[in-house]
Amino acid sequence: MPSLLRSRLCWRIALASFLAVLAAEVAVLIALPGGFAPAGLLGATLAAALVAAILAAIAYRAIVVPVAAIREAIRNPGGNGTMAVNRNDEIGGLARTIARGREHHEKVIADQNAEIAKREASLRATFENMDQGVAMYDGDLKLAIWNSRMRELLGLPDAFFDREHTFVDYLRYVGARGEFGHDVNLDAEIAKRLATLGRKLTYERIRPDGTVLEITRNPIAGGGFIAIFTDITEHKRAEIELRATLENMDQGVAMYDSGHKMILWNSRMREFLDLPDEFFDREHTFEEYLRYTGTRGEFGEGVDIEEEVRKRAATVGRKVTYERVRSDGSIIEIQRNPIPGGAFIAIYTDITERRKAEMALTEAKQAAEAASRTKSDFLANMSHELRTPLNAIIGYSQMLQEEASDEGHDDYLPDLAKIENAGTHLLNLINGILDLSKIEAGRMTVFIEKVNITSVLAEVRGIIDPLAAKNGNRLVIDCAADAGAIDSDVTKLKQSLLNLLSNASKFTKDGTVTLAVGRSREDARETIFFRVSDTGIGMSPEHLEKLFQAFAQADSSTTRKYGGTGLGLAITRHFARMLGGDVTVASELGKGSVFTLTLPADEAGAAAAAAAVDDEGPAKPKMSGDAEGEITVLVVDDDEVVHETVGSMLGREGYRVLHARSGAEALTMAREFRPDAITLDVMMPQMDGWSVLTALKSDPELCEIPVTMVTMLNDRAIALQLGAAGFLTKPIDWARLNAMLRQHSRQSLEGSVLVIDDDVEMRRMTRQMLERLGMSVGEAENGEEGLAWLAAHPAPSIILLDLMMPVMDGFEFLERAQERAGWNQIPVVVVTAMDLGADDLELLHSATRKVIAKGATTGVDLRSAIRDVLRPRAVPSGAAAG
Amino acid sequence: MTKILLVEDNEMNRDMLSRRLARKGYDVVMAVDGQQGLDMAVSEGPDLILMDMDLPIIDGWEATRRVKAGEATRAIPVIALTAHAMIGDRDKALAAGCDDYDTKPIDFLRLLGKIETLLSGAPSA
Repeated sequence: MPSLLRSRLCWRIALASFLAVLAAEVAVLIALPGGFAPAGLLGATLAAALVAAILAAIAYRAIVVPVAAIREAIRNPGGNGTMAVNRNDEIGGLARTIARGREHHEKVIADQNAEIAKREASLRATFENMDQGVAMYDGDLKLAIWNSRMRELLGLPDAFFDREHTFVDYLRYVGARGEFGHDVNLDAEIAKRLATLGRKLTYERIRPDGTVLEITRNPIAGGGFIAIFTDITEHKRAEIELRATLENMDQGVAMYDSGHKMILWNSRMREFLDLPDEFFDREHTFEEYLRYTGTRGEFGEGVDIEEEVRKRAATVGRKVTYERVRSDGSIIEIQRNPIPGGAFIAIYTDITERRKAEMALTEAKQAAEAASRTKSDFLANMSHELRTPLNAIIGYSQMLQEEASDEGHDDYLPDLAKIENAGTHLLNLINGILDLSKIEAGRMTVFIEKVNITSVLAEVRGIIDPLAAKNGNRLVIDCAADAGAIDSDVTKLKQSLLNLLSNASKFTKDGTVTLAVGRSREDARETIFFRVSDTGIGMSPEHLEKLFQAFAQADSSTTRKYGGTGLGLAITRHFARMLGGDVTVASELGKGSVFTLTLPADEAGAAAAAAAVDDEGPAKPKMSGDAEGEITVLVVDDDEVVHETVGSMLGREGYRVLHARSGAEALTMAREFRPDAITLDVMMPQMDGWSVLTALKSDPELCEIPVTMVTMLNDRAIALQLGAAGFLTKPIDWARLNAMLRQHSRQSLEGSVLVIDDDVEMRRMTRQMLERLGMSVGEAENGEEGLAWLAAHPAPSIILLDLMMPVMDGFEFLERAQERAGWNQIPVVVVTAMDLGADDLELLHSATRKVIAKGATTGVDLRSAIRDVLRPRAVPSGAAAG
Repeated sequence: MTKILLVEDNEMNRDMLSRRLARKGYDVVMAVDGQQGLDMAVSEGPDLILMDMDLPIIDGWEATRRVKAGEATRAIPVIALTAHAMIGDRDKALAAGCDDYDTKPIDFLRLLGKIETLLSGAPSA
């Protein structure tokens, strides 16, 4: 209860009322007659005081007490003071309002507290469920807040979590556990760590159980800090595995981030590049590395280093491959691959061995070619050398027989006949051996033409009649009069028929030899058969088995008795198969034999056969070498010796080798197997290498495969610098041209194109297309004008070059352009006509020979030149670094 | 007597063929290379020429072409003697203007037949 006497309000009211009443009373007294008496004043004063006291008392009860109660209630929310003010006036109203306000206020606070409690609970739950450990040290470095993960990760005894232990205690503890290392000065270590408290710091710590922790410390206002602990053991393991992989790779690897800083590498890369240590601080950039190699002279002499740096750095967004030669002569192939985001990876491979293998391959090919040529020459020479004296033996003995007969020396005749027979036999033997030799060397060619059956049969009859008559045999030829003609090789057909018929005649006595000819149709293929049947001695099953093998006559007595070379059937079967057919036999000992020669009658069948694999000789495999080899090389050549030699050489090197013996086969196999490289001899007698190359380059699926054009002459040093960045065939596929232009021009399709072609229409169309693409076009009619144009204008971004032009053809233009430093960097796309006529081919061949002959002195390595040229390149092939 | 000009560079072939032809009643004159063959075709006026294709100085095809081109000689029948029938040799010979051809080794009787055919004026094979 408040004190009345202390109430200021009451005193004020009392005083005010006292004075007011007193004043009023004095006024009345003065106004009244009788004058102002002292007793009256005293009475008035008393009356006023009484009124004052009463008013004060009323104020006290009505205002002061309730107000005090309200104040009390406000001060002590727990009490019910306001409830005591239960009055029906303004003060009561105030009290009620305050009470309601307070209730509301309490409710709000309660709600807020509930909300806070909920949030706190979530926070704590998060905190507790974090994968990371968190700890907060306050301004006194006492551990004030932590989560259970932190306890887990650090493995500290419970005592540390009493909010009294400090960071220093913790450091001492882990130090004693040996986590700073052994034989260290503990206090020094602790002092070191304390010194770093004011900064953000991240480091790693290995726990006794092998776990690797990453610890980050962040200072907070007030002198404390928060520490965050992450278990990076798995991450570390992955990193260790990555590093192990990188370190065990045979290749060097380096990764540059989007700022071109080298941030990852392996030691192999350091080996390859031989850079000073400072480059490996994760701060040095690719540009700095380029500048360093430039100042080391690796961009060549007299070049603007900054320009080179800029040029090379500009290529990081693309995949590029190029080579560098190290000081010890080894060759490193560098491949750069961009990573989305502006970063890139460089991969370094030592290709010295591969180069050696390639060079060995070329040498082997050269040797094979030389050997093959020697063998061919040998065969051709031997043929002539052997036959000439034999012809003399046969001829003179025949002549002597004629003279002896004319002059009546008949007794000489038998001996002379023996000489003639021996000579003839020898000649047949030699012919057979040379034929087989040729077949096995893959040098037997097939000449398909229209063959008139009737005339062939007539010729054959002319030769066999006397032979058959010798043994008393009857020769019957059974063939329709309108036998017509077939597409085949007449020489081989005749030889085969003669072989079969003479065999039949030889092994039949007083019997019948029949040649039946007929046609039939088998799955849309028309065939013709020649069936030679005899009533001779026949053959046993054992004999039949070895029948077609060379020199495997039944036994040597057969040779003596029946003559023959033992080679005929082997050759006949070869021929039959080369012509797309076959020879089959049926025989019964003592009854006779039937040989059937079947051949395709039409060109398609015959031509296909002419190109087909002959499986009678040594196998002509489609694949050889190491079947598991990672690198596949497709060898395209029409010379079997080359395939054998090259195949075994490459196989030994671990390559998988595919063999194509014709242009069509090369394309089919390239499409099916997608080899890593193709070797192609342009100067093949029977296959036009240029057409094959053009076909390969025109096929979008195949044009990316590097083609090593190996054009050999007898000279060892060969150089063919085509300088061609690509091939196109007419009519030009504009989409392809577009793609090629994008691929090869530095600036994105701005700049100029020089079109060199003698065909006006061609130039016009090309100009239109290119101008539509936004490029400017220069024109030249031939190589000479092309050179003049280059001399008079700034270098174009790309040159489109036709090969066949008068005055100066594309080859010579290329040769000249290559000589000029400014011009040999311009990518040149060669445009050739697909269907080159014989004259064009001859021109191409002679033009190639010309270039080769001249190029013999430049000593440029063919393969790297061609390889660089046939692959998209960003860095000029002459440069070493990049 | 019918005169045959034999153009053949190989001595033994020349010897054999000329003797055998002589024994059959022909008057045989001989040249050892293409140029001499041409000259003798003009100077000797043979009734038939046997032309080996593989000759020095001027080869048989060229010599035949010139014989067939020359005023004085174009009417003389020419039989080409080609070595072991290589592809195209036959066609080449005929294209050069040969009236007939035979392959070595020479079958004498066969050759005789061809000579007789051509000399009698009958169309050749």
